[in-house]
Amino acid sequence: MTEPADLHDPTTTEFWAAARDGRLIVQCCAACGHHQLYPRPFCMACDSPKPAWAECSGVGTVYSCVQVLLPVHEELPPPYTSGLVELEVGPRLLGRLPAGTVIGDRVVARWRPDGTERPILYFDHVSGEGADGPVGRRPAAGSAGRTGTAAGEAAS
Amino acid sequence: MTGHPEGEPSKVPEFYITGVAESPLGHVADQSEPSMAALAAMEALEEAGLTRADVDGLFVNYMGEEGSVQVGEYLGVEPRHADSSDLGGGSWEGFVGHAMAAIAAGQCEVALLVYASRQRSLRSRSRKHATAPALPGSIAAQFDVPAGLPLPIGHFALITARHMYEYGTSEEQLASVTVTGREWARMNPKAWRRAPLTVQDVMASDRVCGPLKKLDCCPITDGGGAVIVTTADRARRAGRPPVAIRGWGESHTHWHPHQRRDLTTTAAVASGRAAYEMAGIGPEDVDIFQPYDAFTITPILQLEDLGFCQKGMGGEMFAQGHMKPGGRLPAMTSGGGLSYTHPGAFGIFLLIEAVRQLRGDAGERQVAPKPRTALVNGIGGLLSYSSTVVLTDD
Ligand SMILES: [Zn+2]
Repeated sequence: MTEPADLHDPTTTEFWAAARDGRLIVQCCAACGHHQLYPRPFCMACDSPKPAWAECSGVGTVYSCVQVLLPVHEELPPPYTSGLVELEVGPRLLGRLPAGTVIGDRVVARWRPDGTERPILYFDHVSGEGADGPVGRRPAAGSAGRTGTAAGEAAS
Repeated sequence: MTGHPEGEPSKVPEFYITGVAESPLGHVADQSEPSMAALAAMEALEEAGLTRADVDGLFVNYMGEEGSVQVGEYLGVEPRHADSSDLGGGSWEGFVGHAMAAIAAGQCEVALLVYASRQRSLRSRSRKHATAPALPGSIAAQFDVPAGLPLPIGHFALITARHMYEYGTSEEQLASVTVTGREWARMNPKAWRRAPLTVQDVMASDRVCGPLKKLDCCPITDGGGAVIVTTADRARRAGRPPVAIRGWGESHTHWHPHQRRDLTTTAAVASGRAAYEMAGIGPEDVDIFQPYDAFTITPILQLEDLGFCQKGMGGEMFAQGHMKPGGRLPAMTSGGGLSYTHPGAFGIFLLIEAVRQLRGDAGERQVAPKPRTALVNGIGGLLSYSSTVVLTDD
């Protein structure tokens, strides 16, 4: 697929291709294991060049969220909830959240196709922490830490 | 590094603010943005005992592409040192340090810092787009815009919500920031909002984004100002007592909210540390404080990050009234961005008010006894940039 010129950012082509497949990928440094987004040509933790892409579960904890009551996009009538989610592997992403979400909630990333090259990121609440789910064996403690850094440090 | 050669006395350069002025404020129907900047510049120069011809350093943000070039043409100034750095609303605090460096390097002697905007009259920025829209293909366009947060309020709301979660800051404490500014604004005839205001009034105002309500947010006004930074020698000509610049620092931390690990701690930690160290003072030595109150969370974070209270206690400190008239740390003494004026960028007004208070020129709202040391903290972007200035009356 080719992107329209005004959308073109060669450093994120792979990220959005994965998103169109319903996958969430983050950069992961082969030298030190640090995960990062948005993508850069070096590791933010150890300066190694060319961090590789790695798929992640998309599970994370809400770091902050707000209810939007002002009209921003025509196709998105208020009220709605948006916020920052800290992925278990460390990086944070801004996305749409279910109504009633509060800080500390466990959520999982979903991609919603909208007919463009870049599907819309939104998060669902993690339903059940069952052993068969992708998040079943992950410890919940830490990712809800008060400083919000625990999850990132644990993952790197 | 060792010091100066034996026998040669060290000459520490000294820097002064010798002229300050506001342009017309509020709703300005009879001036353009450049004419407002010019009116403020001429008044500040007159106060400084200087003329247009003396200006050899020009510091402008916004005011169009290549701001100092456009304003330089309008004023008829061809400077030896030019600076159009975009550091957001805190640019003018940043410019104070940039001017000091330029003066110390011999690149200029009379620095004019200026700003004007008619964004209330022109409605060039709606609440939806109070900052420039993200460029197609930018990180913001890809990773931020689809989430639908209004700018800038959505990002300040995220920070506010996190501060409430981490430290128990309440909406009433946030409201007390607006009330503090309003008590000062009631004594400032130039303030845009002067009606009496209670915490209950703020709490009852419409919720607009997350925890933030209408009265947690600054109004949009027209306005501008000018500040003259110069040498000790030139300061002798000033018509009003010169104010000394004793400390300065700047830093920035992030642009996108997902790139800041601790979203409730700002670059004021670093800029404040540098400014205190240069001035040889600490927060206990500060008589008045000029924080950047575009939204109620910001002065709370600045109190904490500049060492006036423990992290997390800024809301409580406001609620206790310490920054109100008669309090132990008068702050937002002009009325602040929340009540006095906020033409898109508020930084230059913080300097103007601090200088007037240190000279005893602040009229009905003059802090008594007259303050001797002021701390000014400009903020730019989405709590991205901070610059701290220490000013004294000698
Ligand atoms: Zn690395």
